[in-house]
Amino acid sequence: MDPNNNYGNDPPNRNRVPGKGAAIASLILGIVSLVFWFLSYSAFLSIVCGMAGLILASIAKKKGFTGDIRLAGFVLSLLGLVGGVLVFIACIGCAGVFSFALATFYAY
Amino acid sequence: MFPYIHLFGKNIPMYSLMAFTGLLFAVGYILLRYKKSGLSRDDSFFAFIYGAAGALAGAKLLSIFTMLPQIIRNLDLLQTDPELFFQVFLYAGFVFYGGLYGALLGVWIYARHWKLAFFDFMDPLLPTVPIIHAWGRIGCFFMGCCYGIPVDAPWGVYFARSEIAPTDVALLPVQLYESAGVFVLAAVLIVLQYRHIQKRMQLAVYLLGYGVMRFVLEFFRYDAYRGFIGLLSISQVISVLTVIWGMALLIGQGLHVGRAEIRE
Repeated sequence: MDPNNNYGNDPPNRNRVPGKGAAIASLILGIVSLVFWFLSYSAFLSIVCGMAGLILASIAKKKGFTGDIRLAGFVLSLLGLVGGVLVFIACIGCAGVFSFALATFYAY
Repeated sequence: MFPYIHLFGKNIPMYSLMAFTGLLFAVGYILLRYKKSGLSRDDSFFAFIYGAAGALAGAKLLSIFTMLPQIIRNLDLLQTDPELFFQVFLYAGFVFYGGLYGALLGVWIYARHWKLAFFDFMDPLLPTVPIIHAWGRIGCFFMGCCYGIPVDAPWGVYFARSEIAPTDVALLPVQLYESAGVFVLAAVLIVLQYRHIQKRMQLAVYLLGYGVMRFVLEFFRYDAYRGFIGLLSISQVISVLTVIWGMALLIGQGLHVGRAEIRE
């Protein structure tokens, strides 16, 4: 038996384009990050999804995929991220100041 | 101060607005600098994105670590009021040092993934850290967080509208001191980059400069909810480790140069 011949069981050639999957994922995450921005307290998820979308868009481009899907994913992720950052109450450098103020009511 | 401004029907925290302003300046600096640094625009920005993601994750993780006792005490909130639990422990609270090391790790991951040299990214990315940080500290001042010790002096500030700081006593505006110090550090790094100083040295200067500055400034802070290890705050302990790393980089660079001179 020829080990190289698997009798037509090869997966069909899908003309895989390097980076296209990452670009599509980036687009989806960009849309999701924008949706989260409009829901209260989910701006944090906007930031997370926006970041992940930007990373995937960058991976897509580094792999050589420069189609419109990647650009749309990049732009939407960036918008979601910026919106999330602006709305999200965060304070780098002061660990848990908001948290502690609230937590003291619930801790003993 | 002014914790929020009302824009587009939403209360926008001044902290976020200041951090965003810092982000714009950081992006502007990368655009100005990337060609001279020898990196491509894509690599500069993509590494910046990785660094930003790492900063967010690192700042949150260290915050969770410092709040661990409170989180454990309030675990029952997860069942009774999960929204409040996440609001209190997930959505709020970030620690700068976690962000710094998270950012460095993010850039390292990017460099390793695409087989590039980690230290090459110090130029142009390193000054963006103090640029964003300095603006963020101004945001802290507006929010009234990260406040200083009470002072009976003309420069003491009443944070009358703050939801965080004590409102009935004048406090040292230590946020502005740190902001000024970090702006100076950013300027020094930019000068070093334009003078093409070795990239490991640039990182060493930043680690030593900020480590010492933060260690000293912690003595003037009054927000006691930051976690302590013995007499030192967690940030002071990390400052000591940061300074040790900075010195190790300096010594390593000195030895490297010394060996090169002996060979010649």
